[in-house]
Amino acid sequence: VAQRAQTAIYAALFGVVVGSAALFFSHYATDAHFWQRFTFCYLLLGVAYTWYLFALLFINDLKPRRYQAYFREKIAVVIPCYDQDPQVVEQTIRTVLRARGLKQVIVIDDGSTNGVQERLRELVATLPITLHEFEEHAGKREVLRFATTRLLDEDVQFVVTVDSNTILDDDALVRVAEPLFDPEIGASTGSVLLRNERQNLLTRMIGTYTWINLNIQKQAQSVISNVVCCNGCLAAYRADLLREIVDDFANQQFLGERCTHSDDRHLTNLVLKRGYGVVYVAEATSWTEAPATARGFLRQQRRVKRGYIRESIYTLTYAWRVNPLLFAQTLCWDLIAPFLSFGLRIGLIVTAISNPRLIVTTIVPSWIVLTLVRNIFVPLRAGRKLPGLLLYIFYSELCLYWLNLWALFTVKNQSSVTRASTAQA
Amino acid sequence: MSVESPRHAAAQRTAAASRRVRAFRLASWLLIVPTLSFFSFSVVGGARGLESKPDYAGAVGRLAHVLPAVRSSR
Repeated sequence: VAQRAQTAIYAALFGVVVGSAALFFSHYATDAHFWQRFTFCYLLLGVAYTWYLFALLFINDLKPRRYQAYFREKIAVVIPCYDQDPQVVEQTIRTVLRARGLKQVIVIDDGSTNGVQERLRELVATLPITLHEFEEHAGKREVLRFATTRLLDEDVQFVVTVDSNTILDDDALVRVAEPLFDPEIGASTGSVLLRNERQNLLTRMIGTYTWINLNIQKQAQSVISNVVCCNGCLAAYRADLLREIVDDFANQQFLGERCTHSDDRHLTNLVLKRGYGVVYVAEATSWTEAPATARGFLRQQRRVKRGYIRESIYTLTYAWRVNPLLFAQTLCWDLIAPFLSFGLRIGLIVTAISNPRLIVTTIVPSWIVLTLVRNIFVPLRAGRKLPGLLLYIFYSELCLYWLNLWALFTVKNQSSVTRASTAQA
Repeated sequence: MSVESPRHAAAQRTAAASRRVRAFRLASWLLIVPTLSFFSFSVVGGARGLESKPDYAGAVGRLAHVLPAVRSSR
């Protein structure tokens, strides 16, 4: 039934795209003001969503969440490794070992072909870590299933997943685990900063994009315990809950095919599906590397966008009964709004061709001002990221939106996980 | 004083920045709210303008004062 529901929702999204385009073209054929009313309603939706996000952020500033302090509960840290640079993964392991907390550190090599296993074997001899090697590449889902079902110590209470190119702050593990003392919270995720943010213009933009995703989107979602994706760089789960859901996680199918990407988003979905809350902890800081080339970044984003659509569809199949607010947010903003605006984008292209002066003198400046207002937290709380924000405005309009559309048509495409970081996952 | 479980002895902590940072963040809402209100009225007002129909009757009425009346005879 769930598979049929997902297929139906997926098909309906194409209906939304076609309907939006039809509405735009209808204003050439009829005197009716459908198009103007549609534009008005769409902008109203955008404004309402902005107020909703800002209200949540205000609540967060006014009354931050309180968690019990970490004492000496055991945390298992799982580090999946696939074709990672040996020096980078060694750095990751060493920062995990240095981080505060009673730990069991598990490293699983997922069938690497670059010889990183040799370095890992050397490390096992000198460091308190558990190493397991897969003969063939199986993916993060199988890695986590194996670690959870076969390698966890019995007294482990929390499982933290850390990407093999991530560096942790000393307090990151205990901070990200602390929300899990609340029995209603099933998972939590930490903040991700870019080690190479100042490398070039692209990485500056990605740094801003990541900051907005975390400090605006996830922070707001966290107020109502509805964070929709725990970042793979640093995510914590209750061990008993993970044991319960890990088989569903490993065996996920979409449109009849096994899923091999957007693992973190699905794992978070499974936690939310069981009625647990998911939160974001800004103080749990990790550092990773973003792709430094446009090609690498676009490849990463294509995968992220496909997962975004697939998992948003999955969310709709359960959220209507366990979390109505999450359902409404996913339906209206994550799924319908991007595709509903297809007609508006066509309208902008037509205007750009027929009246380029209007675009240059009015529409683009207005759009920049409005986007700056929507992201007012960047100049107010992260002033150094302002140049990145200006780049992000153009990138999101010229590229990100169309990637969404492209992802809709290729959502079944199974790309394997790349070594590049997934800071925006 | 002893406790049965050391877990319960652990203090509660607040996942927030320092008091000074928190005060600055709260104060920043004095700027954020008016800016967001202006943003909302601009967007909604601008979009509402798209929907309005031209005032043909008013335009004709104004023309009547500007142009000389023309009397036609059969």
